[in-house]
Amino acid sequence: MSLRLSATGLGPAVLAWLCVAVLLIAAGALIDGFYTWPSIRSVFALTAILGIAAAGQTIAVVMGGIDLSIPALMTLTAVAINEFTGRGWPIVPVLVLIAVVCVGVGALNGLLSAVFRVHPLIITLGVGFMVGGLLLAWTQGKPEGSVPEFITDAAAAASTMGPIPLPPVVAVWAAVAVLTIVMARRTGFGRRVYAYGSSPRAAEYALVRPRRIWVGVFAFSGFTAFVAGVMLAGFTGYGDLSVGEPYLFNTVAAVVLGGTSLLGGRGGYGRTIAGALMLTLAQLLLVSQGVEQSVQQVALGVLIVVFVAFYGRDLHVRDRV
Amino acid sequence: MAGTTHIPLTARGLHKSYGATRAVVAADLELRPGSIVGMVGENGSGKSTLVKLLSGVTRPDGGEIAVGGSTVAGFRDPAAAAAAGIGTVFQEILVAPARSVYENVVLGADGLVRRRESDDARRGRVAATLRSLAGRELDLDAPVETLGIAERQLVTIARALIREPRVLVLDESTSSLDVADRDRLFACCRRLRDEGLALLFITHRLEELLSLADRIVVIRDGETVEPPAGGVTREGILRAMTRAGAAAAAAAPRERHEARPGRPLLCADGVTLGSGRPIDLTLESGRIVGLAGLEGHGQERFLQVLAGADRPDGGRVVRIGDERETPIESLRAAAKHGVVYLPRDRGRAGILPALPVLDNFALPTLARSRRLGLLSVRSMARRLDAARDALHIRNAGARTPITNLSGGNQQKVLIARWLAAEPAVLLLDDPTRGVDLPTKADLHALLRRQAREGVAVALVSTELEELESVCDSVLVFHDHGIAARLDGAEVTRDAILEAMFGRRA
Amino acid sequence: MSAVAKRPARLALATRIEARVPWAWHRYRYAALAYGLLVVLLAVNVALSERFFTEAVLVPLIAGAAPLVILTIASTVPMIAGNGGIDISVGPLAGLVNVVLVVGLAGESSSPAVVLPVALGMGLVSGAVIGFLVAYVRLAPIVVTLGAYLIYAALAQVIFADRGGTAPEWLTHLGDKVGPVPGGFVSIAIVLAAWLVLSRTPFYRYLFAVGDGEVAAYTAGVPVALVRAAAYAIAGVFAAVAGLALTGLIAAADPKIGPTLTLTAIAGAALGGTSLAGGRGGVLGALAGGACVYLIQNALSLMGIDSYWVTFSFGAILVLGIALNGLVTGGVKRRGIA
Repeated sequence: MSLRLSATGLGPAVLAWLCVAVLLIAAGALIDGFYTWPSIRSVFALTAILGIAAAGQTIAVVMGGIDLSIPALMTLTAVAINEFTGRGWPIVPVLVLIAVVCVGVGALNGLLSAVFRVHPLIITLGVGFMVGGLLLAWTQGKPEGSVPEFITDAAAAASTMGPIPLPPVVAVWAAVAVLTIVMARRTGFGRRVYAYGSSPRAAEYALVRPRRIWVGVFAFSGFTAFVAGVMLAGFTGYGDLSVGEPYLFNTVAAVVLGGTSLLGGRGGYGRTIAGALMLTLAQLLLVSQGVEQSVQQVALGVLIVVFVAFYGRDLHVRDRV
Repeated sequence: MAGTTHIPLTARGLHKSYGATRAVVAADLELRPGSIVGMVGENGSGKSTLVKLLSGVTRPDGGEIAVGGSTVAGFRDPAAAAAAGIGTVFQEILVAPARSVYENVVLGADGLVRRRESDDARRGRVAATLRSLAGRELDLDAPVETLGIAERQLVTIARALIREPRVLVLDESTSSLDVADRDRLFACCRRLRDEGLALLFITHRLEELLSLADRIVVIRDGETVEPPAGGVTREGILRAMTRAGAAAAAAAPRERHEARPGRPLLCADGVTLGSGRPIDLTLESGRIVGLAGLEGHGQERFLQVLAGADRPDGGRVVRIGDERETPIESLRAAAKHGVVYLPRDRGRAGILPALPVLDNFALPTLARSRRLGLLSVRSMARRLDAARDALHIRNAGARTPITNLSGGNQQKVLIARWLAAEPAVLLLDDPTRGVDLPTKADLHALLRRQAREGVAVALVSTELEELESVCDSVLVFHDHGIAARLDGAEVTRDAILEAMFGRRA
Repeated sequence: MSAVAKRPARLALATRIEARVPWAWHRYRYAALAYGLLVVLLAVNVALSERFFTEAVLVPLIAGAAPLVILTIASTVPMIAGNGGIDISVGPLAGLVNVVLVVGLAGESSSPAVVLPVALGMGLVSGAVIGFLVAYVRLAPIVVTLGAYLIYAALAQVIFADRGGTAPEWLTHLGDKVGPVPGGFVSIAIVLAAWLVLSRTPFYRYLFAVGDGEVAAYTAGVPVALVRAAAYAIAGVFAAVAGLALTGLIAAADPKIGPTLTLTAIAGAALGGTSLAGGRGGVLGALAGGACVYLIQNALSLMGIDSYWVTFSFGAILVLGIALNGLVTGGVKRRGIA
């Protein structure tokens, strides 16, 4: 499947940001006090976690795959931080340990998909189950502990970083964004990911090593899931076994709404940022109108389908003759 | 074909544009029953678009098609064209690989709910059709993916024939057939013509045109042109097809590259493919070696083995360097030692379709444009500019999507990609396939230049003329082994042809 | 590589059968792993439960497996149609049907004449709309069915909203016995019978051809969009049947069950050998795949494994099974050289 692009290849990206603009205007009209700094700031803070998690998803999608183990890894991170801190372990080694585990699980995802030639949707689903199951067994269903203060401070929407009036979580997001975009555009690995997503066969003939791409992409996704999980722990202040659930399809939605092709080879993280903002703004709008959680979800579903109809249409078969 | 009335097809004033590109400008075509019209045109001449218009894949922007007594302004979809009696065999070999031969042949012949004809009644006809095309029995229940490429092409031809069309369009249908299959197909075409079918036969190969067609039409720049009366000769057709300069280049006396013994660079040592005899071959610098043979006789696989893309069943491939010999066991190992490979299927194994020209060009040589750990786009662009000038690649801006380029220019980008790696050995699988004549001439000149600079070149080719005019020596494959080695003056079309059929010259 | 038949045109019946067998194996080998695994799992389950072959054990077992097996079959159909085809809304749709039947229609309007059209109608409408959006508007299937997944799961919550209700009495037979036959068999048999009828039509071949060689099918005159849309419609109807079976089984409404069912159904489909790339696989494998998934869960609980470990084990078995399947069938096309 390939998505239709305008001659300049900018179509979906421009449209995505246009939608963000429209939603901002609507939000300003419908929500009192929206155009104030604290309010805008909280939009970014709220979107940050989704944005970080969706960075890995973006790269996975560009490669032609998908990662459904992100929520499990985020939950793992949040719960592990709680548990270890509760047992008095120092935070830095804990974070390092969890990061290694997340990257390792991601690498495993990629390796299994590459070696056994199975679609990553199923592999990451299964591995996600395994991680979730292990977590359940470890915590006996009742995670305990607490989150170090500096993390909860970092994630809070109202925090600031010294003289800069932005919460640290946004800075973390910005760092992840820069890392992702530079990696995608200016490293050999990034270019090879796009090449592989465009045509795995041709990429192999052009000396791309598929296994490296698979492992690298999913390891990166595991890493961003870890970072998002840390922020999530700070945001919720506790580790609950269901914290990651919303991120199962949120990240896919953010990538798709931003206009990155599910086929691969096209798009990028810049578009995903727009997609993530669209999701947050849409949800904010609905909440502000007093819409109930379930109905919100219905609206989210409709929204996704409608938005994709505008710039996510596949080619007709005749254009593939 | 008894019992069906054969009605002419007349297309008048067809035109079709894709955005700013005017693919077909003014196409007029008349196909009379009981005649074969041969059509020839460069890539980019509008030939493929015309086929799409006639087959119902696209609708024209204007003009009309009259077939079977009724005139329409185009067909809504291929089913409508088929219903009007037009059968089309496309240039690309379109099959559903996991499905059986039988299912592929009867694909589309029924409605969704009810079969038009029971399977039992149809199987006999399908088997007979395939038999007359292939010259042997084909297993109707075999999955098509177990068939070789020539047999797959025959399946697609059978698919069109089984619907008993009034008009048959064959677009480059001999591209994957060997000479034997081709002759059988021609016999089939002549038989159908004698029974009243109107046939449009499109090919790149002028000899086929001259041998089969009753009338010849040239398509050039979106317009159909008939060569002048008395101009039905090679030169006449070429002149009608191309601009003067390019025609001169194409009709130029074929220069034979001077054979000079060079340094051995790559060696196949006792390589066996399947049940074939062991093959020993040394590729030397400055020489162009051609690998020829009927389809499926091992020459393609041999090239892949040389490139490290496939492993031989016996023997080994060795890269002979200045100081030592290195066995070649993978594509990457080969590339590391200066052996590069360009596969045959440009669309699926060559270009990276979603990416721009720059990425397609630079991908294997990214390391050369690295500064401080990051890629320098400017460095890559500079190298692309140099390549563009050296190879005369048109319409290839760094950010232009590769799919915007014509087949010939895409091929040039791919060759530039590998030349950028400064290879010692260039291995090319059918590099001028689907490429228009002027570009073909350019590529031949390029290969000769590379050879002069000391590169060892080996190419698989299905065109006898190309082998004769470009190669210093030709190895003819038969049954996965070498049937004949022709050097220098021995390299003639006749000698190659005889060897292909297993007869020594 | 050419497959040239070495026998002359006239073949005796015996040799004709012999010639067919290799290709039949080629066509059905995708399901080999699932059936192999099924045999193993049956053996394990038999060993673990006393008196396995008694009504008291078998009837609830089959009834419990039926919704999952039917959903596995349902999710297989759009996958076969190719082009990224997948339907993750089948679980929530079944859940929604369940909630609507129990909560929405209560009391007098619980006769088959009302329940069946409502349920099947929901499935058909859902499938048709999704099929239209995927095949004609050409939106990415995972996105469209994701939207439907979210909508149906949420609607089920909204409609359920702490209101009670009971399942129609006659429907509960599906969870128990219909005459002498286990109810689960009846539900599954209905779906298989429908599929059998479909398999006799040209549509069946076209479905596979569209997934396997879309351009070949289109240029040959097959109505590709219609075939794909129909695949989703069929999936919707089958999902509705699963909803009926589910209702019969739990005799109540459960708005939360939908999402889990989807993930396990897709796991079952993949285990059953249907390729996500399209054109390969089938209902035969899905049947075994769904049964395997259920038996895995059953075996784990019989083994008294801490329920916390069940999730892990399920994931591990899923990954293992998929990996093995990938090895057997040679994996999804579009990977690697040639």
